[in-house]
Amino acid sequence: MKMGKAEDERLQRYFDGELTAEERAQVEAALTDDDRLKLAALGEVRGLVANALSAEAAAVDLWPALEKQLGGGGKAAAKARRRWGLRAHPASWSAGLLSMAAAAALLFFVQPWHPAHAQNGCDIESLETTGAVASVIHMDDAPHRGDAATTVIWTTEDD
Amino acid sequence: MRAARGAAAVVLGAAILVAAGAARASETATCDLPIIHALPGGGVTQIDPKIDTLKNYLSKPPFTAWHDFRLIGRQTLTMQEGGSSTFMMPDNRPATLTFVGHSVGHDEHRIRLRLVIEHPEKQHRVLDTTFTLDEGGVVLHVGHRHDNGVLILAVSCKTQN
Repeated sequence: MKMGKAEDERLQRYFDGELTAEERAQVEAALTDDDRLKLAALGEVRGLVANALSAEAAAVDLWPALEKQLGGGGKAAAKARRRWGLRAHPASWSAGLLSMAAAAALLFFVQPWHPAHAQNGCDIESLETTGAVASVIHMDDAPHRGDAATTVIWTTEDD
Repeated sequence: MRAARGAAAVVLGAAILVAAGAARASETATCDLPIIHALPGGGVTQIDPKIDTLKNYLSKPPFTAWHDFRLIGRQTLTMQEGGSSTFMMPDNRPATLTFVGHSVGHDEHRIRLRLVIEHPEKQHRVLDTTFTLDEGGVVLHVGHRHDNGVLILAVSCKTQN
């Protein structure tokens, strides 16, 4: 595929699964080795971003922000008390809200209705190439078809 | 009497250690390495039924650029811990897999492998990698251009235990 901004964008849309079946066929018919390398690189970047987001999500503590918004007897809290009849001691409904926040965080980040991604537990300890460039792509079992994850070591040799 | 019991305990302990050592020394891995030729093809993706277990990997990016996946070789290697096996890839490049080690953790068996692929004409190693993965897990090596396509080497190992 001749590379230009439009073609790059089309390859990106192909990677993201945004093309129609006809457009996909056109892209696939015109794929060059460079395109395949680019697709491999996109896969690697997506894996890195997904890992980074997972790490960030694991570190998020929602409660301080919720507490700031809901606690302290502000107008919102007063309104909530009027609306929901929250007359108990703040400590008791704080515990309730904490539970709700924890449950919300669990639902949002863990999504227990989705089975966990299967992993192959692969750790690449060392990777050396001569006359080639290597990429490592970790493929999840998305969309949860039950197949295990796999790791792809992709080498592109110099001509 | 007490001394005899002590001696018996020592002998028993030594026997257990020797038996454990023998079991450890006999650690063997069996590895399955299908070699696949991926071709651009056209239309519907065709995957050799003999590699049906890899179908889900091969039918999604970054493999969607190819539509024809044929099994053109398969190596079944049995190695002792620390041992290596060398075989030829279809493009006449020697590949060596080494069973570096095996670890057993809580509810998991992990296996450590080293894969080296050489370029005999250029006299260098195209690939030299060491990795650890769960037993039965799959690692795919992609990249050697071969007959209008590329070669895909799948590596999966299990120990006898």
